[in-house]
Amino acid sequence: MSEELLSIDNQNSRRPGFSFSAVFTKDRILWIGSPILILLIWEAIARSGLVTPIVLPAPSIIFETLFKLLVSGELLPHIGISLFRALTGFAVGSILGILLGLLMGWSKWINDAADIPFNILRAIPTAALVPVTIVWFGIGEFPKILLTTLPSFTMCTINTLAGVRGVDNIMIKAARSLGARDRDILKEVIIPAAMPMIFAALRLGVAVSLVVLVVIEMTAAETGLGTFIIECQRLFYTAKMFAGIITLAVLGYLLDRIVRLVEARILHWHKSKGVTAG
Amino acid sequence: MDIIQIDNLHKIFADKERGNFTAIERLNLRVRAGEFLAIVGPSGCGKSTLLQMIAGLDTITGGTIGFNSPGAAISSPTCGIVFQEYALFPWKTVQANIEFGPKMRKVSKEKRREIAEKYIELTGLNGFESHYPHELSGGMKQRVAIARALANEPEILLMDEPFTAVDAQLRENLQQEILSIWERTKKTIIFVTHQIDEAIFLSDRLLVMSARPGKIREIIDNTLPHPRNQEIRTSPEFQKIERIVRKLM
Repeated sequence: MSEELLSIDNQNSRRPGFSFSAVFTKDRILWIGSPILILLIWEAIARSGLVTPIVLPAPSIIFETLFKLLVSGELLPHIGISLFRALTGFAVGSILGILLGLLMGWSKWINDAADIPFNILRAIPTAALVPVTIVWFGIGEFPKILLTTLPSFTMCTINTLAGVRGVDNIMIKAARSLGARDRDILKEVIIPAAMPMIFAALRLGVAVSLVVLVVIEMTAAETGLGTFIIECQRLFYTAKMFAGIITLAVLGYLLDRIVRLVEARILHWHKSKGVTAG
Repeated sequence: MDIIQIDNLHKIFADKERGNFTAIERLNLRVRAGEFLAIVGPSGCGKSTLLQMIAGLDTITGGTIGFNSPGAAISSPTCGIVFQEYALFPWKTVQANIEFGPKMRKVSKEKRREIAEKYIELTGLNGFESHYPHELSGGMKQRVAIARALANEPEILLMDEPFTAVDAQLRENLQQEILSIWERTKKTIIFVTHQIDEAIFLSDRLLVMSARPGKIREIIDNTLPHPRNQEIRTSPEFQKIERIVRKLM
C-alpha cells in the first residue's frame, strides 16, 4: 500500500513553473535550433548568387511574398476552399471507414463480403480515379471531395478492424459476466479498445487527405492551393509557389496538432502508458 | 440447499487438425448455497473451463448445469467472475469499472455511486476512485476486479486463480480479505486455484481434480474452524489436509 501511494505522489510532484533554464534546456535549443539552421543555410545559398531566384528564392523573400499574399487576400480563397474540401473529405471518409471497420470486425459475413472489393479499391492510386469522377460527376465540388474521402476511409477501415480484432477476449467475457449485451459490448468495450488504433489512422488520414487533395487540385480544379501552386509554377512565380507550399505545410501541421489534441482528450487513459517511464 | 447442480457435464474442444480434446468428462457436482468451495488440480485439468461454463461464458458439450435460486424461481442466480488477468477496462477509472455491472443493469446513477462506494470501502480502495487501472499495482487491480464482480450483487462469486499474479505477502492479505468478505456477505464462492495451501486456507470443501480428461478425483470436507488467520497454516489439522490433497494430486 505505502509503496503504491509513494509512486503516485511522485507522478504528481513535477509542478509546473517558469525558469530560464527550464525553457532553454539543451533539448529545446536543439529542437528550435535545427529548423533555424536549415533556413539560414538556405538563405545563404540563395543570396550567394550560385542559383537564380527563379530556381531557389531566399526564405526571406518567400516569407515576404507569403505575407503580401495573405494581406492582399489573394491566397485566402484558395486556403478556404482547400480546407473545406480536405476537412469534409477527411471527416466523411473517417466516419465511413470507422463504421466499415466495426462492421467487418463484428460480422464475419460482412468481412468476407467486403474483403475483395475493399482491397481492390485500396489498390487503385487515387489520382487514377480523377478522370473517372470527371466523366461521372463533372468538375464541381462533389468529385473532388469524393476522392479526398478515399485515403482516410481506407486507413480508418484497416485500423479500426485491427483494433477490433485486437480486443482481449477476456475483457469481452468480463463485460458479459457483468450483464453487458452485444450493443453494450460494442459501445463500452470494443470501441474504446479500438480507439488508439482509430486515432493512429486519423492522424495519418488527415495528412494524406491534404496530399491527395493537392494532387486532385493540380490536375482538375480552378481553385485551391494545389491549383495556385501549379499556376505559379507555370508562370515562373517561384517565390509565390513556395509561399503556397509553406501554407500547405503549416496547414498540415496544424491539422495534425488538432487531431493530437482531440486524441489527448479522449485517450487520456492511454497517454501515460509508455514504454519508457514518465 | 444446493445452489448449483451439475450433472454428467462434458466439454470437448473440437479441433479438426489436432484432434478433439476432452477437457471435462462426466462431471457431477452439487454446490451448496453459501459455501466456500475450492477447486484444486494440476494445470490443464479443466478447472477454468468448468468455471466459465458455470458463468455461462463457455458452451457445454453435454450434460446440464442447473441453478437453484434461493429467491424462488424468479430467475437463475447471478454469477460474478474474477479472472486471474484482472480483465479491468483500462479506459475506465476504478469507480467506473466498479459501476459497470450496475450500469449494464440500468441502475440509476445515484444508486450506482452508492453501490460503488460500498464496495470501494469493502475492498479498501478508498482514495483510488479516480485512478486508471494502469496506475495500480497487481494487488490493487485484483481488488478492483473483486469489487466490480461484487457490485452486481451476484449470489455466486466465481474466482479463477485470482491471486496467482500477486506476490506471496500480498496474496496472504488478499486471501484474508476474501475470507472476511465471504463471512460478511455469505455468498457462495467457487475458487479455482492450483495452490493447495490457498485452497485449504479458504474453503469449506475442497474439490480435487485430475487432468486429461478433467474429472473429480475427490471432494474433501475442510473442518478447519472459522474465523481463520494466518496461524492456522501451521496447525496439525491444516497439515493433515495438505498431506491428503498432495497425495491425491
